Amino acid sequence: MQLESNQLSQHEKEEIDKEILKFPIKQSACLEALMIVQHGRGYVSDGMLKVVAEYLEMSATELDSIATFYNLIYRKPVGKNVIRICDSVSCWIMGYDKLCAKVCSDVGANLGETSKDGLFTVLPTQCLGTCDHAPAMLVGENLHRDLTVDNVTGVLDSYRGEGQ
Amino acid sequence: MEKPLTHHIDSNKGPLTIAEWEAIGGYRSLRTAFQSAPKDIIKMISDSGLMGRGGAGFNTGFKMGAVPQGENAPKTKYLICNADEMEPGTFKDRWLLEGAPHQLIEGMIVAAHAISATCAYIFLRGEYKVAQRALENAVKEAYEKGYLGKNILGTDYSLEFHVHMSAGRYICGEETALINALEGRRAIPRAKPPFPQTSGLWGKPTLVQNVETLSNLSHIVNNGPAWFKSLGLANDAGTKLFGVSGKVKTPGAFELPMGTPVREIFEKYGGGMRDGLKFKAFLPGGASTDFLLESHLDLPMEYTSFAKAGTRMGTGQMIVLDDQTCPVGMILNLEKFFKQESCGFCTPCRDGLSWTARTLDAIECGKGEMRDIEILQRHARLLGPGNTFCALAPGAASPLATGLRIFADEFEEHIREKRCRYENLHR
Amino acid sequence: MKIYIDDQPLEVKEGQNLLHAALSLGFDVPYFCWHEALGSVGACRQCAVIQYRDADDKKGRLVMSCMTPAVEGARISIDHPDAKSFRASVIEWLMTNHPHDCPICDEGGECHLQDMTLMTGHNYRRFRFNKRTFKNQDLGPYINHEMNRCITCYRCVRFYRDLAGGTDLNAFSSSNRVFFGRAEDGQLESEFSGNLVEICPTGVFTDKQFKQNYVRKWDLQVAPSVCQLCSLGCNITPGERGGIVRRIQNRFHSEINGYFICDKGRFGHTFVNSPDRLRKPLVRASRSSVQTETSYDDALAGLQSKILNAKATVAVASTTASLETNFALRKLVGPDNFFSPESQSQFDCVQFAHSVLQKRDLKSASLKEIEESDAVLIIGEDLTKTAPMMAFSVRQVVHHQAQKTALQLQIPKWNDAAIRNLVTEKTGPIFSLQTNVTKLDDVAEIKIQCDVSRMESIAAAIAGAHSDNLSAEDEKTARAIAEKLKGAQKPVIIAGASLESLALMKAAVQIAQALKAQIAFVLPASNSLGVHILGARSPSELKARLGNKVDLAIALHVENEKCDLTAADCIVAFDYINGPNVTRADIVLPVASFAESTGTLVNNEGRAQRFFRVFSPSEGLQDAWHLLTQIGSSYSSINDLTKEMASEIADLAGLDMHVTSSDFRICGQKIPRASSELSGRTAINANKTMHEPKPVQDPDSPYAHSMEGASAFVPASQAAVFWSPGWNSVQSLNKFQDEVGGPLKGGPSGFLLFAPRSETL
Repeated sequence: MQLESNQLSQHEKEEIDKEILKFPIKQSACLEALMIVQHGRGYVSDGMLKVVAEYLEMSATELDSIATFYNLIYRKPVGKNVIRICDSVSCWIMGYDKLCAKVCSDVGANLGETSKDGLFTVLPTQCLGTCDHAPAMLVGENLHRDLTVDNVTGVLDSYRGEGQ
Repeated sequence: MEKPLTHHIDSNKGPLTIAEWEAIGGYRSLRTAFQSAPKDIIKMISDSGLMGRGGAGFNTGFKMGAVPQGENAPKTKYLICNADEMEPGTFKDRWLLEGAPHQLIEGMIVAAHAISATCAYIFLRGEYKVAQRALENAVKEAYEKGYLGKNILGTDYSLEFHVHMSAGRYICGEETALINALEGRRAIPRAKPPFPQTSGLWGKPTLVQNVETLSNLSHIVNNGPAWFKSLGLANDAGTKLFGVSGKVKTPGAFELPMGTPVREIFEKYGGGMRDGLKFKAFLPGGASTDFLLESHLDLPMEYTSFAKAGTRMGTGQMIVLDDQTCPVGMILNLEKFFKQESCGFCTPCRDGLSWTARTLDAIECGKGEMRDIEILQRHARLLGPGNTFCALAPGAASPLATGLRIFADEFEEHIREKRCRYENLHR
Repeated sequence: MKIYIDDQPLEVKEGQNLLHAALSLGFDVPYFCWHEALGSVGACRQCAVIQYRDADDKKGRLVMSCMTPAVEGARISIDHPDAKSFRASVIEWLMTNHPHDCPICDEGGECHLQDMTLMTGHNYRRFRFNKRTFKNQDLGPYINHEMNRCITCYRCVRFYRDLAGGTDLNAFSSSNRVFFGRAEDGQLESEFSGNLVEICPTGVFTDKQFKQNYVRKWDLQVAPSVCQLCSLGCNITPGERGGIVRRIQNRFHSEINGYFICDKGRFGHTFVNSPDRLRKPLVRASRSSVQTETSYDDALAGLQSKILNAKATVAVASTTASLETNFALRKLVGPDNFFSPESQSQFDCVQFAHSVLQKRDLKSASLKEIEESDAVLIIGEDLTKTAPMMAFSVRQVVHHQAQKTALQLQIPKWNDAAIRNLVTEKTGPIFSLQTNVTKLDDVAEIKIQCDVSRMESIAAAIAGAHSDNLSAEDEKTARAIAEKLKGAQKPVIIAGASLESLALMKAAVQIAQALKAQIAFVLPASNSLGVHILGARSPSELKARLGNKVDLAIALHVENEKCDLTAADCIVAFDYINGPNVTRADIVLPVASFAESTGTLVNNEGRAQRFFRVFSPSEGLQDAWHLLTQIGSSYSSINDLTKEMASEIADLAGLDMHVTSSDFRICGQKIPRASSELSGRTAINANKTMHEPKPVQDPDSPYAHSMEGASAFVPASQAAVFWSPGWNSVQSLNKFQDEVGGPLKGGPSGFLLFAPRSETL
């Protein structure tokens, strides 16, 4: 993907403009704007934060204040696939601890870290709303559930072959 | 048994298209609603006894009635669907969002019209990608069919409609924090009064309702308040999406009449405990509710009966604790969740929950001290409603207070023995 | 209306919250996030009290007093054990992360957190885990950042963003990792950032400049003073020890600066300690020789003989020197020889302002009145640069209007967050005509950027005059502004001398007269008006005079003024700091800086305010007026000089009755300049002599250079030290106001020289 590191692409601008139309105040679209940038680049860098702030006519401090409140916005680089393992109560009862240990060892990264091959970042997440199929995790946008220490390796492997 | 909310949902297929929805009577309620005066629709909803399905259980009609109407009211008004389902143990709204998006949209149009809203938002969890696609598609279909946008069904009522994805954080489920999040700000809650109906989204009158609540509206309009009341088995009206999670045989979400006994939900639908495990306790409706015991299984699962018993039903989706899972570990997990999700605005929640979580962690790791119990009890007492800025910390205090009481001996054992007796089972 | 606090019936005014009411009545209720200027948000939970439903309710429930309206019959208990216990718990929670820094923290001794900790009685640490820590940022040369001390009260960002309009300070992250700072290291951009050091209740934001010469608060010698760096006359409290000005704090004045001052006033005092300070008189035999040190006696004798022998003398006033100093100079040379140091166009502008005020038919708006205005027109003044605190006041207009809107929905004006959520519009009824982009542009509903001549046409059009060279669009805008001003109840017209356009000032006055609006002049310097009141003659006359032979030219504060006196045979400079103009003088007489002298200034409103010396000048330095009067007549104290000035200058009639006389005593005692805890008074000189020196006398003020003196019954508007038992921080101010946020007990200080005839203040 040909994205300039300190510039919004034409496509990103169009997407952001569409979001701005949903609100009476331009700055209210800031979270959407950050997610659009993150969608194409994996995370929101300091440089891109400034660019988005300028595009929305707010200060970088203002935008970063908002961005750092929310956990779905990454302000540090992440791997190709972000694994988010639910660690809330139902998944915990159903075996989160062992599952998490397995995922971390499979992938080669602890919670909060990115694997050396850059393929995976492992993060905890709050209740994913699929408690009857616990334990569960997200890999990127994909929900994987009814996980066990045995079947999770297969799930992870399905992300290794792809380019993304 | 009537299951108006879910009988048409087929989890294997995907949501009904607008044509399929209309074929089974969908969007019919709009004609009725638009022919009535908004205050009559609100009265109908009040009379039906519908109580907010997000966990608070406030009479929906009364809530709608608080939105200013008439010539002196502001012209711009908002309806927001709170689809930010994040209460641990809760998975009912996902079912409706993924399976019946038109049911929700129709209900939202009914509500929006009743409060003369000019614009509606669905505030949807950022993680619910399948629901996002279903809803965005359904919204597009509804616009194309003229159920949304300008001059709906040829009347002079217009409604702008948007799906907004959240950027995370549990506190966004609190209605005033949600409003701040939708405004693109930090999701700190707002003090009430003023209530959102007076000053909400961008300072305008706003009504925030849960997915399940709104999904009921078209059925109430179609069938009338008496019908809705008749569906309940005890005091509260309508059906409810209940659920069971934990180590039971058939965990899941179930639409059942309000007032179905807890035991029935747990044993008949949840299948009871898995073989080899015994029931120990349960949280009736998500992480923010009290630990309840075997004796509570005979309660009718509804807001009123639970309130009479001195507790709360919450979301109505129970989390079951078995006898081979550490209760201290479970409470630790719950408090860690709340500590992490604290927005950081008020002192007791921000600093109190952190202390609570670390104390529990110490106890669970065998580093607890006897005075820790008193410190935890003090926190459970002090983090009460009114003492904190919003209801997050009082929600955290519910399982803590009851858990400390019910599992007192297990806490003491952890501290005395300096170990968790369940440690081989979990780690 | 009546409320009950611990069963005691008390009268309170309508519209307050319980915390404000309780504090105003003198009760000690702890708080952090509430501030009179910021309103209530209910974040810290420190102000908890028990509220009862009625007389029969024995149980009550905990409420936050800052968020609870005081209604008729309200019953609360501050002393209820549950309330006390909860308040102690709040401190305990804050202490879980707060570093035990007091011995090395600058805030210690004037720390609101210390005070509140003691007030709640929490004193035992049960928390045994590690504290969360942060990395600090470099916020520039004025503000120090120490985030570990943060108690997350949110005051800093609420002040910085909501009141000061700053965009580069905010809260980051969530939960107990909330961090207040900038997106990245760098100097804070707001001109009001210095107020963070007073608004922060702990030592997160402290005065970095003060750190270079740090001393504990209780060791400081202080006195009521007035900032000399612009024409607004904000009240300040400079603090000194060991002959060095250490720092400047805000001194509350209900009508002018309120709780805040700008960074110029707060940090712009280092010149007092500068090595460029003139300490010894200098003379030179001729223009070609070098200046050499001499004694005061010799220098004064030399000056006296020059005056006696001079046939043509001119004296140049200073717009930053006190009335007394300027008057003494005027007396020495005679009114005919007394000239203004301004440029001609500046002179014309200030002269015009003076004549308008003298007419007394237009009221001059105070900063408080500007805040409460419902329409403000700013003509050609970049207020953020020329009168920063006036810019600050203009910003508050937007919020005041929002408060009015909110009241219609029964949202009280102290419910700060609710009001800011209700009114999302950032601009208000502020109309700005400027020659460039300004920092107030973001709050102005209508703003035009244009050159001076176009501005003059637009201003004239607003006043109702028609101008041929006005474009249709400008005409339309002018009309729109005029309409909005007409529809307002309390409009204020702001204009000044910055663009040196008399036409602009005339238009401003015309508009004000037509609307019966208040006028606010922005003048170039702290005593510009004073110089005109004393009848200083015009610069063109001075130029003409210098065209002929002038034997002697005497000038005050030459470094601040730009007039060229080299045509005179002999130049005598009275100044406090060295510089190129001083090196051109033939006789240099060093004088005390503002911090070492007493005098009266007249601000842009026409308010005469006396500033008092904080510490006695060293090495024979004296007030300029004192030196000058040694040559002419002498006075035993400034009292007599002021009296004579008041009787001779019409505008100053009655001035001597309205400034604190140097004879003022309380039960025979002077008012102390220092707290009773001042340390080392005897030890500090022990390396020089064992004998304790006699305290320096100050004949010109009722203040003693000592901690000894009246310890009680000091009128608030005269007090130097604002201390109250249990209140060591700036929050002690509550005890010195009749009503929290209101004027100091006894009324606001200063004497309005041009009050419309019907008013007494």
